[in-house]
Amino acid sequence: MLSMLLKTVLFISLLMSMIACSTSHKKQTLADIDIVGKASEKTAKKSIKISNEAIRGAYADYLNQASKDEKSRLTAINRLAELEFELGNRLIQENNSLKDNNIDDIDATYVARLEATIELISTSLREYPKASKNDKLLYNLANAYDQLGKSDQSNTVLTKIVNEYPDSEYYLESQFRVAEQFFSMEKYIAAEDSYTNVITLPKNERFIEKAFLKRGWSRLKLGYYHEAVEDFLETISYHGFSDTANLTVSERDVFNEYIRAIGLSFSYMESLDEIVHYFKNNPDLRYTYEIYTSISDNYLKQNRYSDSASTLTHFSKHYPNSPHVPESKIKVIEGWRMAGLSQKIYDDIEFFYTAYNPDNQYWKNQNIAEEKLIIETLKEYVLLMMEHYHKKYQASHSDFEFSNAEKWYTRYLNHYSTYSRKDNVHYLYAELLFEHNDLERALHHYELSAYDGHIILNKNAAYNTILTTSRLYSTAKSNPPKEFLLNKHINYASLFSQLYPNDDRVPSVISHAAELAFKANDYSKVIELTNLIVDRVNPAYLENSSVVRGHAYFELGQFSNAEAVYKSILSIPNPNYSVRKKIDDNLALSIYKQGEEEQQKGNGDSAIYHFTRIATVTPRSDVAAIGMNEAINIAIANDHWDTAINAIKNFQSLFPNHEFNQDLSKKLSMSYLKNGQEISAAKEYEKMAKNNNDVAVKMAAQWRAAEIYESNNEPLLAIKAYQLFSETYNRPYSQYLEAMQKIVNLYESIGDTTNTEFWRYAILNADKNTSNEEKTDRTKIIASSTALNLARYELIAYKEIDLTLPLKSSLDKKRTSLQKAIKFFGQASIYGIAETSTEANYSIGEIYRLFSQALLKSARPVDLNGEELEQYNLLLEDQAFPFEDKAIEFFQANLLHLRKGIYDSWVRLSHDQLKLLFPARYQRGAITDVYINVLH
Amino acid sequence: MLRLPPNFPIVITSICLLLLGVMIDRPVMAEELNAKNFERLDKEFQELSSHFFQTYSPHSQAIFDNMVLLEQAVKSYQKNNLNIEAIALIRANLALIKRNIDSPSVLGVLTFLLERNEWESADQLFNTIQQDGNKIIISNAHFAMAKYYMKRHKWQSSLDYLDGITGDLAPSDADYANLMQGVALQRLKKHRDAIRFYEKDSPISQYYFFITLNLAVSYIRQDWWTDAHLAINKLLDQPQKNTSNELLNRLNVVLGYSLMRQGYYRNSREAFRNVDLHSQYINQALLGVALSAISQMDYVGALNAVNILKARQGNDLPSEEAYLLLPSIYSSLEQHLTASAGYSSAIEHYMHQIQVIEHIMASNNDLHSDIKISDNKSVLSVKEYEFNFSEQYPHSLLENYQMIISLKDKTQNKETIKLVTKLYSNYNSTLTQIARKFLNERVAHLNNYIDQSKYGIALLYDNSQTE
Repeated sequence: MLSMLLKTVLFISLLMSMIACSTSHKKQTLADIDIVGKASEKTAKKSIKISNEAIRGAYADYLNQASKDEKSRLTAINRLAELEFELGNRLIQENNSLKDNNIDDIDATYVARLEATIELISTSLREYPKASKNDKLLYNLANAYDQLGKSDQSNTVLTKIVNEYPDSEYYLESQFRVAEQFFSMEKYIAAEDSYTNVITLPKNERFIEKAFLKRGWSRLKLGYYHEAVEDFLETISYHGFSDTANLTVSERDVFNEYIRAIGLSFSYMESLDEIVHYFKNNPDLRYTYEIYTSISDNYLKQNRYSDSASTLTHFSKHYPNSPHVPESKIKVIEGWRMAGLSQKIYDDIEFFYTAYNPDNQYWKNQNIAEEKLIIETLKEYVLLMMEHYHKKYQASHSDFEFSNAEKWYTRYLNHYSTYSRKDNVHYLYAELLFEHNDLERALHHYELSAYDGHIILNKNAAYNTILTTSRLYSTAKSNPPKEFLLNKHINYASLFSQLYPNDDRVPSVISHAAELAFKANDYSKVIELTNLIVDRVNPAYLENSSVVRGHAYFELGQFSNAEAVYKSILSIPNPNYSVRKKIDDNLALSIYKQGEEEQQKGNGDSAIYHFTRIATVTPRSDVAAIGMNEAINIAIANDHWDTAINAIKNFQSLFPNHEFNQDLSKKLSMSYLKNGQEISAAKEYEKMAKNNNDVAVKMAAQWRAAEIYESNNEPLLAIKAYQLFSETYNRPYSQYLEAMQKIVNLYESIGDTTNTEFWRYAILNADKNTSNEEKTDRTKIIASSTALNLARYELIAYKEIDLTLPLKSSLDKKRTSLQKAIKFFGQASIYGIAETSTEANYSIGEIYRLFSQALLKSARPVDLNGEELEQYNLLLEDQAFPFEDKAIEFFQANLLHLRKGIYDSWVRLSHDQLKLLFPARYQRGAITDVYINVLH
Repeated sequence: MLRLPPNFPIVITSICLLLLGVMIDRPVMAEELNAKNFERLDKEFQELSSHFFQTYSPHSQAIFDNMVLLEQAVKSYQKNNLNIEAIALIRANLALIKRNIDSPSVLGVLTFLLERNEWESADQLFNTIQQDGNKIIISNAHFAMAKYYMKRHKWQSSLDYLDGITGDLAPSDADYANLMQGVALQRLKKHRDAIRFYEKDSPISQYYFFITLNLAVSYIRQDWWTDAHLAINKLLDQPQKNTSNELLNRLNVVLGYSLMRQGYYRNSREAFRNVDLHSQYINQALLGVALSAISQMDYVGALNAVNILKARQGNDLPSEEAYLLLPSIYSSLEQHLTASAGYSSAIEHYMHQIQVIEHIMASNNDLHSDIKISDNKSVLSVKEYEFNFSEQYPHSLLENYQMIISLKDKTQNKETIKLVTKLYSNYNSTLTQIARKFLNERVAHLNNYIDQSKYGIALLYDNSQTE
């Protein structure tokens, strides 16, 4: 907007100039192009952001070039000096607030700024020595020097202000600071003079108090003690302290400092009587006591304890009615304490107690606030005495010292019972009584110290109530108090443990209390107590308390809880072995009990679960095997064969030598069978046969195993089992032979002819070596049928031998075979068993018949002519007929069985052969009874 | 309410003093350019002149026995600008002149010789007048001598010759003598004595205007502002018929700055506004308007005046001041950014100007080829820079210089040529020194402006930061 306006103005100006050029008849003046307006309104401010550095730089840039004649130079120098000084001050403030590593940089910058300030001001003073505000510059210069620590230069500059600018507004301060400089340089005469100047100048309110104070100190240093006191009192007067009792902390410090100065002045005087004289001559002056105490304090700082005490005693002697007398006595005692003079302390406290105890008449006319202060201090002293005599008793254990200690405890409790808890006096008193074995009173004070209802106020006291009740309980005889003490003990233990669950003593406290409660059959209390530390993992104490806890649960019939507790105990590493064994048993018993409970409820499965897991949880416990046996019985009783089998097998695995095993083996076999696992049963029978002590059982088991294998179509296993049987037990003969027969049958069933034949021979051999008394019908049948079978084989071989040329050879072979077959058939028939005899007779007859036929049909020698052949044929017939006759004989013999009513196939076949061989006799038609047919 | 820039009073004071200084007071000359040096040069010229005319031999030198005829012959030469011939004629007929010492034309001859600084002849003539002339002639001769010394800035000598002669002078000369005495006393810083002489003058004097102006300046020097303003206003209210506009313009400028110094800004501005647009004082007046307007917090008006002044592109000091004043006005308008840029621009401008001047000084050791002298021999210019020579240096110096040049063309004598050449060189050297001094002063001014600009920036920054 402004620029537009300016453009417009320029345009108008130029236009008017042009008009002026073109029109000459009228004089053109500046008025024609001047735009007279009102005072300009404020336009929108367009500020620029300028850093302090830029400002200083701008001034410095100006000053670098500006000549000394430049009128703004002085102003610029002064302003730049101000800026540098301000920057320096700001840097030092930042320095104070910063704690990082660039403090050194800031310090360096700060110093540089101050030096720049000094340089600038010095330049200004040098270039403009008569400038009007040079006093201000000098003042700033002095400050800059001062901040640089150049106190000499600062003082020189301030002195210049003092000497050359008496009317300057900085004169007074400069004079004061000059005085301060002199003072710090220990030029006390000059300092006193300068301070006096400040004191005498008008409008010196800002400095007068300090000027009096420092002049006092100057005079003190110069040895003008009385004058110094005067100045210090003036200082106090100028300060105008309010009531000294109600001073703020800072005011109190100032007051003390002033009084200390006075006290110091007096302390340099020859005698304390000077104070008395001084105050007699100045009756209106206050702070007598404060001055005395200041002197006393000064002595204390010099470790002049006796002088300090004498000063205060001097006060109490000359001012006996002062309300500060008790306070002075206290200060004496405190002096002794600083000196470490114990006996003086105790003596003075004894006196102090007697003179100023709360019941003393002294306090009737005294200020209440004063009394309160003294009484509170006395309380501290009573505590000190209590402690002192308590320690003496602890060292000597004498009744005398006990009495002294008890006296001070009693005094305390008489006067300060309301503070007793705060000061822990009940506890300390209880300690004293406990140490003196006065347990009942000790317990009382412990309780007072420890509890407020159910709230614990003092932890150690609370713990000691537990200890004390325990000791009292252990010695109590009659039951009511014993029970009362036990209840207290348990209660205190509970409170303590609840409030301080992390205290290291809690496990032992609980453990002990729980044991006591257990012994008192208070099982619920045991659990309640031990619940407090159930989560604590402190093996040492946890084990003890847990054992009791577990027992308590057990006693309460809470077996599962008991089990859990016992388990937790066993989970503790490295426990005591005997304890562990016992806990193991208890754990097993807890589980067994759970099994029993379930069994009684009719929950077989749950009962089995519990009974069986005993062995899992505590395999070493005695109850484990019993429990598992119970489980097996329940399983068998409930036809839970799988369960039973598993349980028995588990049992056998866990307890291989247990007496139950023999019985369980049977149960197992039975279970197998019941469960359809016959092979497994057989194997179990085999194990039984092997391991059982009873031979009968062993035989039966072996036989049963063989039978099961046989019935389950396991011929090899069956053969093995029967073979083991036959090899182990050859008596009774019938079973022995039966076993071999089973083997023969089994081999035969699998086509193993070699073994079949082997065992048939074995049967025949055994039978041959066995007396007839041992033989039974069955053995005879077996032996007979065995021989028969062998004969059948031989018969087949016999039939296959043809009589070929050379006839002799083949004939010998056939004849041998004939004899062998007949031998077996004969052997089969000797047992008189009809079924075998008929076959044997028939077969022998058939052998003969066949031999006869073979002869007749045998190959004829090729070289025979007709006749020779005829002859040969005849010869053959002659040789063959006897055999045929032999055959008829056996066929006929077989027909004899008909008389015994035996007519089997062999008899019939024999009859058929006879009809062929002896047709005349046996080829006749049967006479049939007609009526019989009719009747049927 | 708008704030004045913190540096404003300083700028105003600085500028006012600068302008008044230009118009009234003179700076002290440098050592090598002091009065003794000028006196020596003047004497050397007089010796040269003496030597010249001794060796000068025109073909025919007329010797007259009649003063009237001689006077006619001299005037004839003068009329034709044959001053050397005129002097030679006078010198040849000096005896005749001495014999007719009471003749009125003798004063004309004396004045002519003094104007041409033909001291040997003039001195002889003046001594003869002193010895043999009547009181009227002697007083008028003193009057001539007073003017001669005034040209040489020998104020006391001038005063001495003027002492007690006014009664013997013609009224107009007497008025002028009074004016001369006032000026001489002013130059000698005796302002109260000067006022006494000025106050003797009557309003009908043809020098009344100048006397009143000088009287006003003396009043001002004595801090008698009211009297000064009354005197000037009286002149302005009743201007004489023969008073030129330019003189009125000058009066208005003096009045304007004086009023401004007294804080009468509206009246001050009014005085400046009366200055003709084509006046040589227009730049000073524009600056005055700007400063008055600033004081009236009429920043728009101030900007208008400053911008016009700047647009005129002069290279006098008021024009240079415009560059400094512009950002200070912006600062007053709290346009700190523009102000800052303005100060920077001013510094740049001043530095450029310094470079130009330094280039001039560095490029030519002997500046006389660059020096030009105005016809009235009051202004010395070096290239485009003009300086009021006569205000600071004896008018006679330039007269001598121009006469040396004319002598140089009029002699064949080797010895004379040598002497002329040497003196010409000396004068050239002195003028070069003066030119350099002017230029250095200008550089000093420009540096001062740079300083003030820098100070302006510092204050601007400081002021911005503390807001």
